[in-house]
Amino acid sequence: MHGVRFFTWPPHRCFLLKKIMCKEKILVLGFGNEVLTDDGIAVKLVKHLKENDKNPQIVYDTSWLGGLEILEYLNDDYKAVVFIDAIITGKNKPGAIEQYDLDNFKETLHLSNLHDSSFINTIKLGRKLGYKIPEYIKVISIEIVEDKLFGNNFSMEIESKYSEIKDSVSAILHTILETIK
Amino acid sequence: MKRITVDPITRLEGHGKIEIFLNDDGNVENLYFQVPELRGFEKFLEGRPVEEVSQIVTKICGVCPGCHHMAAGKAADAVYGVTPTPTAAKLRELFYMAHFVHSHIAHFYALAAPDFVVGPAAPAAERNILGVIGKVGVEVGTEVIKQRRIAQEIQALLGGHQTQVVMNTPGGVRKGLTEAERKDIEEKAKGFIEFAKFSLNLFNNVVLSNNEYVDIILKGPYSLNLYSMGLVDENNKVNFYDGKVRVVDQEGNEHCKYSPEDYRDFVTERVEPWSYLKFPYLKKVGWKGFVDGVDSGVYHATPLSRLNASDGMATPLAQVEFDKMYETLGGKPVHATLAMHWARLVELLYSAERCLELAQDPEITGTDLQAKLVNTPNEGVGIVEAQRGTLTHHFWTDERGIVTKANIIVGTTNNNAAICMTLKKAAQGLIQKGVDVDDGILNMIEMGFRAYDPCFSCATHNQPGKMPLVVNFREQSGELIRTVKRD
Repeated sequence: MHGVRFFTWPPHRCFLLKKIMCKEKILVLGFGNEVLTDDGIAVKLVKHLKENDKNPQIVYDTSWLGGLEILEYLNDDYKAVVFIDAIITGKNKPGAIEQYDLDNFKETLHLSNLHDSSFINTIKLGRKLGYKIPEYIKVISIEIVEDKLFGNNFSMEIESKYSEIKDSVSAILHTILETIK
Repeated sequence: MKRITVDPITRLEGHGKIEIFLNDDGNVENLYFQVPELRGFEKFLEGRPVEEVSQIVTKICGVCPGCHHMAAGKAADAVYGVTPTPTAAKLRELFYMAHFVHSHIAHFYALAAPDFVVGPAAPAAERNILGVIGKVGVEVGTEVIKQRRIAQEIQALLGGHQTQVVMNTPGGVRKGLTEAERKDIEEKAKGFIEFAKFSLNLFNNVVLSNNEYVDIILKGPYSLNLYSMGLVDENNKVNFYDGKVRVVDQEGNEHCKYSPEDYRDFVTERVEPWSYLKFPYLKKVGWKGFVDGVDSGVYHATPLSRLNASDGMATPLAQVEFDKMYETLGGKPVHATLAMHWARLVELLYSAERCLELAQDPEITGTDLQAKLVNTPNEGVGIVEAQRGTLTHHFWTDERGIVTKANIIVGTTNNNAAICMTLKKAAQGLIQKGVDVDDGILNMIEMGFRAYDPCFSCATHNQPGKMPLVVNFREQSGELIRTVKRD
């Protein structure tokens, strides 16, 4: 448009602005492999939640591998971070959801990495190295059935419960948002 | 001895499982190591256009997706009978060198260093990257994470994403490099070189200056006399991205050297009833069981074997370290399994130097990114060195380029027999009658296969930062005496 000047932020101010904005937000990170049947349930779930939840206070993202990789997501000064991952205990019904803090953390499929570091050690390492890791950390696990067979679809047991799982996780996230306010 | 048959349908909960059979004296007679295997990836590729396969295979493994992307990309080139343009080949190799830098840094500091910096029998809670940082300082820890991240940034820039890589297309790559990006990578590569030099110094000061550690490397119950495999260039220098596969024997004499398309003339796979993974071996030597020596076709494909199979490194600083390593360890080839950690650091330096060379190559910012595809697609093999072994992708397609059949031999699979043998030897050396099998003993056994940096993420992925182990001790009759479990 003639005569209109567009103001653009210099890059360093964009970086700082992002950090300031993140301070009031929660990061939701889903882990998994989408072509390993139920393994990718958290990734698919987070993608669906992101499409439908326009709450500006929740930042959704996905990854595959835990361990040191987690630190790449945790330096933006979020108020809280929620990890979502698949788990196979064999003790719960398919689709069962559990929540853990760092104190009672139970190993899920992807948050630790054999090739570098466990989840707990990664969090400790990040704090030791000065990463802005939030005090509030929650892990949501979803009990799955099949994680060794390549396939684009869930197992029958998980497929039948997926809608319920999605609604439950969404409710948990909004409860967390209320808790940390 | 009672034969144990493992029902492959029985699920293991993602643990590595070891079955140890004791003899009448209470010493280790035999050992079987089992890891559950992912199923059906080759079938999953059938019906897919070969152009897409290099993106799909990044889903095999979150640890080495770049390796699968490269091997599949080269196989797709071969399917079309096309040679990538020089710029495309160099861009691929530049991505790949960054991939090696990030992976080798992570392995050394998070997995190898704890055993040597903190100590192999130190409490488990300290024997990890936190324990290493505690000893070497927060500044070093910050640098480890920083250099690893920088390498991944280069991967993301060139590959489209650091893990879900999309750069390759048959005959080339999808995106080029600007001059500004090239300069940035050039500076970062200089940082990689300095950090690699620092890491080798650390290894020298902490490990090589400690006689106890040198004894563990040279005299510990880990060494095997195996054939060594690795990819080499036309001068027989180590190359991770391209070349021919060379295998040398226990004395360092060339056993064979083959082009990727001929791999089935030299390597074949064996199935054991108690294992979920196959056991590749050298066809012309033959399978003689889980034994080492010149008459056994068992080989290894590791950082150490790559250096053993070569006549040197293609970059100057890495060549100096190559010479130093072999001089210190008594000549070439070296069979001390734990020397893989040293070899890995030499490779880190090579990868860093090669990054810089490629970043300074005038062709790297070229705009000719893809060769023309003129042939009818058919069949092709692509081989690269993954960080943990020679990786082979073989695709057959119809005339439209739709995959009809696929065969993949992943890096760790090459080492399956060697890993089993190393574990057995370590167990026999460390577990004896009257010895309490505690966490320290388990860790020293684990050091044997940790040296291989096995990608059981390709086989399984329930890995909480250390190998969860179930160790069953059985009498010769097969009766279970005791189980030692570590989660």
